[in-house]
Amino acid sequence: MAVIEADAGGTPAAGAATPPRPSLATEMTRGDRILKVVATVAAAIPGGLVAFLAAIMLVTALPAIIFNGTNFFTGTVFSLGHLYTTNTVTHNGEVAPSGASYGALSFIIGTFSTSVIALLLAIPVSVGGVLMLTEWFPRRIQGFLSIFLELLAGIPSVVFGLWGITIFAPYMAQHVYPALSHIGTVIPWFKGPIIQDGEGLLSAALVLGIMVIPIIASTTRELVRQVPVLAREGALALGMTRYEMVRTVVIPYIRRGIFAASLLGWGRALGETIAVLLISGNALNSLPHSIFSPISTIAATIASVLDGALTDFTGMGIHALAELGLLLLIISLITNFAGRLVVRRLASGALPVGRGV
Amino acid sequence: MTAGYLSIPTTATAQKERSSSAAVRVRGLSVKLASRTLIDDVSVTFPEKRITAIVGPTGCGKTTLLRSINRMHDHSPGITVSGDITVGDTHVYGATTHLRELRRRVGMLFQRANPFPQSIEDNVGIAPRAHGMVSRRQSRELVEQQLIEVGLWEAVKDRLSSSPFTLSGGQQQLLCLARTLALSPEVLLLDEPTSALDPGTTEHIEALLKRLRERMTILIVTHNLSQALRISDEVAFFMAGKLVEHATSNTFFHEAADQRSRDYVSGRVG
Repeated sequence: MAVIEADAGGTPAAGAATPPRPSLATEMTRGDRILKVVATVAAAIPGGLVAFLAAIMLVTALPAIIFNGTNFFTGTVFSLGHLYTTNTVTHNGEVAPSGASYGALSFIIGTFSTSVIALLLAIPVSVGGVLMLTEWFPRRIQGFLSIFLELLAGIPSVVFGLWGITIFAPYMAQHVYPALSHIGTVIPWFKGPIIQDGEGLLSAALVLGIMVIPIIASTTRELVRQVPVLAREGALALGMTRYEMVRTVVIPYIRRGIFAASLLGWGRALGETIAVLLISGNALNSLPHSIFSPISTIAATIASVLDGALTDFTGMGIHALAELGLLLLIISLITNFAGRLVVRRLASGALPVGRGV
Repeated sequence: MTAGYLSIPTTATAQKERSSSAAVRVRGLSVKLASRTLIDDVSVTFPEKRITAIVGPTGCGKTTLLRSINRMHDHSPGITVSGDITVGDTHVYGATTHLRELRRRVGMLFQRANPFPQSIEDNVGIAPRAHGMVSRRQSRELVEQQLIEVGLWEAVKDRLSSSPFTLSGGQQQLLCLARTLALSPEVLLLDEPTSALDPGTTEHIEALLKRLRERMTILIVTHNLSQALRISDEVAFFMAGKLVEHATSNTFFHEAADQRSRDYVSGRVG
């Protein structure tokens, strides 16, 4: 818009004798005006919604922020307090049911540990799998297997949760985790005890990982398709094997995109609620001491505690959940921005994806 | 076709077969894409230590022929190659041919520069290391030697670890040439290597090719007849997938036997 206007402003001066040409930027029919209004509104919606949401969350959370202080980040006990008596406590001028404590440290740790472990599992599996598929499998099989990738992406998370808690977690607890816990003699995080049905950090992370795979894999597949044929042929023409070609050409071309895809996946893992709620063991009051410990995440806690919080006569329960929500929102925004920053920094390394075809 | 693809020849054979040039003999070559014939029963011999220009109108099969010689068609589904090509004593499409070693001996330079997204140094050194021709330590020396050979050393010696995409288009193409030469090929396939370059770099590359002719067989596909006239010893003229005429450059440009060749040279066709 600015460019057009500058252009239009410049032209009349050139021909002072002739009447100024009608500028395209100012000449608007009724259709143009309607389009302009609609487009402006549409363009403002995403940004406006985020701002609106953040503002509402902040206002709702404010009493809890004042009540909790730093205990929110350092406390490990999350309790709505005694909701069936009328006793209250007052802290920093804010009122909550007696016995209430809103320490979120264990959820913060739970959120990060599950999502990071999920990513550590999902990235190599998706990238390796996609490279296998695109580089070594015949094209027809590629298409066929890709369908399953899309199907995996379409499975509702509650189904993942149910499968996780009824089949996957108990199986892992019986057959895999005992072996894994032997590593505990070297790395303390792998030490048991193992919950009988397998509910806990690792099970939640594994199922999250499976849910994240389609996100990373489908992005990676698109990236691999964009690697210039000419660049690949350059490697093959030098007698390089497919493996060497992938290492020298394909992976450098897609590296940055994989990073961005992983952040997308991370966003999904951070916010995933129902599947984690079902599999995590829903531990509201304890820090995990090993990868087998029951945990809870920010999102899962909001979902599981909401019912009780709604019966809180002081309203502080809801305020505390809003504070959790605000925290989740901030974490998501930070990871998103950090990701963009890294992608931009890597982009300045000048890797012209698509050049040469 | 790709049976021997992943097998890695021993360094001993690689050493033995290095530093000799070889003639390229094509016998009864036909290339089909599905049912369409791209090359139709072509027989031609490209003599060693000569520059042969492959010319002809667009779509006549020049590039297809070139890509048959180092088996690039192996990676294009739907393309079938029949007939026989030999490089020296090696049957290109022989059942026991090591594709990896064949491509070491038959280098290729593409129409547009396609450097690897690696450092400038690795662009030249990575393939010789992969072929086990040099160790990581020796590779530095080889890289310098090749970059000097193509006349790029002075421009890049202070930024060997930076990205090749910071170089100009012409420099990138020279880098790709250095990369190909680093494998000591016996045959060099050039697919319109200067069509995207400025006249200065083109001249530089042409001079380079004349020098390289002393140790390898060079086939160059070109749309630029004056380029063919400048650098080639022989010309092979193709039309619609068939070889029309194969003659010395002098004969082809001045007294071609075939009327179609004369028309092409005089600019009436193509």
